[in-house]
Amino acid sequence: MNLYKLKVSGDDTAFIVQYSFSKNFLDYQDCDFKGTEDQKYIQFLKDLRKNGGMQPINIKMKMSSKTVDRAMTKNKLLLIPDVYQLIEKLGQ
Amino acid sequence: MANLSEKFEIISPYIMAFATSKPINAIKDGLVATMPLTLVGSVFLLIACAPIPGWNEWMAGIFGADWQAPLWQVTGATFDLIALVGVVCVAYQYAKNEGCEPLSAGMLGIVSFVIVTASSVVTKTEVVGGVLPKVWTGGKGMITAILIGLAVGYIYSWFCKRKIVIKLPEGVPEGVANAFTALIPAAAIITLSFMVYIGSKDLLGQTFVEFIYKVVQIPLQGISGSLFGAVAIPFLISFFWWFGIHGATVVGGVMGPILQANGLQNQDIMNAGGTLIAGQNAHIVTQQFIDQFITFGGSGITLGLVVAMCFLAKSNQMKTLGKLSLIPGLFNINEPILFGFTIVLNPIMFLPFLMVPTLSGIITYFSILYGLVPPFGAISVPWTTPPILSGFIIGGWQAATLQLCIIIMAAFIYLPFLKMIDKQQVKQEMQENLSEAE
Repeated sequence: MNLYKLKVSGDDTAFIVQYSFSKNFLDYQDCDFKGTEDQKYIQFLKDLRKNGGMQPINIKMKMSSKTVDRAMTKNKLLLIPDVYQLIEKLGQ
Repeated sequence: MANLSEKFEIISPYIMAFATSKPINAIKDGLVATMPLTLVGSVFLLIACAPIPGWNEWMAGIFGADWQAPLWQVTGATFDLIALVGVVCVAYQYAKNEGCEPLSAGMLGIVSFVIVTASSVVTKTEVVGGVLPKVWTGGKGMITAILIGLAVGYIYSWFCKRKIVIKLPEGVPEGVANAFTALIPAAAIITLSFMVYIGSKDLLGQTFVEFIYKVVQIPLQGISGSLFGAVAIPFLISFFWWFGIHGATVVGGVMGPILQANGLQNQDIMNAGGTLIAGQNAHIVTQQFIDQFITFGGSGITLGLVVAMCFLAKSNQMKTLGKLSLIPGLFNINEPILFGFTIVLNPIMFLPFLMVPTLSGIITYFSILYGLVPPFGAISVPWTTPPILSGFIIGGWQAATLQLCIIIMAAFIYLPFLKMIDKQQVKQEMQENLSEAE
């Protein structure tokens, strides 16, 4: 099962989400998702549903407006349908 | 537990709104820029007063009785100017976050701070003018520096965003154009600072920095340095973390400057030749109190859990995770434990994760209060410095021993909860082995 880490940078309108996963809790590899931010997020949700363990997802916030790192459960993340809603949720 | 989670979901937007608000971001990101000053200054301070018996006499024997004087020059230019540097950084960061040219905002910050600070000192025989007393540019001026930095950043950005600035033709070099852009905001900010100076001097009979120190900073330092602070700060850090919010960032953003001021004031007493006595003249809860006794080994002091995992776990996963997490844990990194073990949002780990640092806060508080560990001054270490070593640097063998005791205590508190999870894991691994054999 994979442990996931997301790194979000940019601002509320122009942001980049980098996805990585680890199989041994320490070494993270980049996920090879392609396309727009929304397309990459959809691919991530599929991957998370299929390969994600029960561990929460570690979200590193490097945005200009949101700087507090977060964690979210797999179930909660799977309920967020698109990347824009994710960005909004990360500020709450 | 579900009920608590639901309640936290209601308040979490407010916490996040506060933690990511413009002033908090400017304070957090601005004051972190002062870190090189405190860390490098700490090296010189450590040489000047290393916690080794006979150090002073030994150095004096080699370099002469006045051997510390050049070292005080450095500490006087780092720790004693921390508020002055802080005001620049906060104003700069606020303007930068607002998308305005930040250098002018930083410069106006320092100008405003100096305007509202005393420009003379009183000696036994005379009043010496034309000076900037370092007593107000260090720890004692910290809260004023933050307030002025935010105010200057806000006013400067307000003018810039509404384009109430002097615009020069496009051909003018950028540096010149920026200087002219800052003219109107500068006039407003300097005039306002002038009025604050007059008002506080005439109405309050003291400078603005002194007024803020007495009315705001002393009460804040009193609360943060009390037993309440020693309990509330570790509790909140772990509480936020458990709910998936970086607790150290949220709590540190607010408390950091106050705790830093506590340590700097302790150092001022030592520099003046005084002896720190907890409960009398010394602040107990300082930044080192948090870094070296509350979040060392990672938030929740999970190094204790890692030690327990390494020696007492039975499942392969726990043993492997323990071994993998030991080295990062020694450098105070506990991401593999928070997210891999798992602690964040794991109901089983809620109690020990909150209990360990809170107990550590209480134990450390009373250890300092009863003189078992000396109160901390301005010497600080990078947050990745391993426990025991970090304790020794900031508080001698007593602090190092206390850290060791806290790690052992943490291991014992985490152990029953580790066993609970380990048992489930052993069961799961046995089932997996059986299904593989079939």
